[in-house]
Amino acid sequence: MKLAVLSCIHGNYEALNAVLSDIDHQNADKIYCLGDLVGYGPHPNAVVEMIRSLDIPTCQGCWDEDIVEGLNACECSYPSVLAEKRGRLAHEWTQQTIHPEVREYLAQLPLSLRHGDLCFVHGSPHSQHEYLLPNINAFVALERVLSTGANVLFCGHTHVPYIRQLESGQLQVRVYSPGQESARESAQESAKESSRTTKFDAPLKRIVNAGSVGEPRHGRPNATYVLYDTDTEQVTLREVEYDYHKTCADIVAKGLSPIFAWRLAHGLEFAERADDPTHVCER
Amino acid sequence: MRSPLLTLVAGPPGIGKTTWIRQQIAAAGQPAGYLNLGAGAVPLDGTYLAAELPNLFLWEEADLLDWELDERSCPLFVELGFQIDPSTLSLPRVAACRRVAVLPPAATQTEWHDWAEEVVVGGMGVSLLAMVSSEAQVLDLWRSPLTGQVFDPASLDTVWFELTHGAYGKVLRAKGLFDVADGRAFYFNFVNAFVNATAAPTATSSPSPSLSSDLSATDLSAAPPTTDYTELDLPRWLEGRPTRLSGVEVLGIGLDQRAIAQTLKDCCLDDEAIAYYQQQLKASLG
Repeated sequence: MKLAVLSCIHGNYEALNAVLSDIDHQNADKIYCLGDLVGYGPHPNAVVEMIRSLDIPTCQGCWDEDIVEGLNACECSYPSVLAEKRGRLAHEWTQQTIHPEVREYLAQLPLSLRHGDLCFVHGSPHSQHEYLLPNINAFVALERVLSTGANVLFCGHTHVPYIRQLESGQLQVRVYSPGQESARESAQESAKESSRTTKFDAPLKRIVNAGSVGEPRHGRPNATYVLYDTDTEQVTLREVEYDYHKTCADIVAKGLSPIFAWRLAHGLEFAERADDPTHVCER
Repeated sequence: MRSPLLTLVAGPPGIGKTTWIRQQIAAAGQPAGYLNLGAGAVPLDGTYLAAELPNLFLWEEADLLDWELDERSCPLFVELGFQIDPSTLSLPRVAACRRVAVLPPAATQTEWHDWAEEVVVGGMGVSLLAMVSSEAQVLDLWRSPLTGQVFDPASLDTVWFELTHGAYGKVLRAKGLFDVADGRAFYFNFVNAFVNATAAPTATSSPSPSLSSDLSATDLSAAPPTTDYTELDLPRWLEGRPTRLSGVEVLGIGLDQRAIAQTLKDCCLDDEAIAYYQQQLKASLG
């Protein structure tokens, strides 16, 4: 079975149409979407309507949550004063633009989806706002996959596609009891601790990031998504050209900031990535 | 023979006039004066040089009206903005001064050659000179004082990237003095179409080969944008809004000055945030 996985459309209807057309040509059997249907882009309603009309299983993204729950549902989202101000503008515009039924649809989206040994999330299994970057600590990466019980974790949110193999290896987990710091310093206690160390082997796991359909951040304006063959386990990153000039013109015509259009045309995200992308949200 | 006390330095923008003057003063190791004619109300270069050179005295334009260099007994360097035609200057004792033009390596037969008695080869390529000289191009020169404003560093990085990569029009030259949240001040210096971004200006006695007519075909976008960032040797500002000069100057074509101003404003911290950062810094610095 051939699956198509797409993420981070951000109201970019032109890019979504181009990707859906490419998926057709690739003869995919089923499509999954990892969220962020709205935010920054000029056509949030049309994007949601398209996703709904095709009955595409979709996770809730961080922007989808923000639109439902209020701006900056995760207060660690913005890395700079400028990014926050721009985010607020985009948020206010989106709030005024989307239809009530679109908001209701975004509100009921699940945080994760499953298909056999595959798991689909927006950011990470812990939060829609957490970035699983390609160079994130191997232990953390493996923990995120293991927490889902799946073998392949599909995510988005970074807007830069990647595939990461977590090779079969041994993990050690030490559990410390609170209030025993001083005792830990002794050799005797260290010996006790080693007896509390749990060791286990993890089979091959993979994290696959689908990149972004509507707001690429890989230095080119092309949309990206992922194809996955469940029989061969082959992953293919697809990059699709589309008429980004039209989206840019629509951004300006709709009253969104022209800088969004400039950054889209250069393959730069509208708002920069979080200052500490490895943080774990504590909401 | 005693060297002239007054040196006039002219040339196109971004060629390295200020850099050459800094080198001269630093090499001499003696007190010197500096004035930038054409800097207007935002004398960025003078402020930058004063932070770099402890033996520098900044001059005001009004001082030139009744100057007596002998009384001050130190050399004076007067930098001429690219928009000033040096042949029209009517400075006192101008006939006795040293006239230096800082020009691109391949430049010849320019108005500066006719005026200067000494040519220094700057570090810039020919493109910017061509743009400045072209009558077909209308250049925008936008300046804004920023004294009292404190920037969020991540935001400043973003806006400077956007500015120098064409988000608000084609920028040929940009420089700025910025106070940032941790109390430090930085000098940003961007020149488009640099050939040797780090090459220091060098003196030459003979003109270089002629600027050819194919200058208009030079693609500015092919040259990598280059910004030098210098932390000024100034004490951290940790009490309220800074009163020292800061500001920005942008030279370009088709600049969206309103958008630049608004975006810079969006990068600044409010009083509450400034106070918070300063409190944290004072605690951490002891």
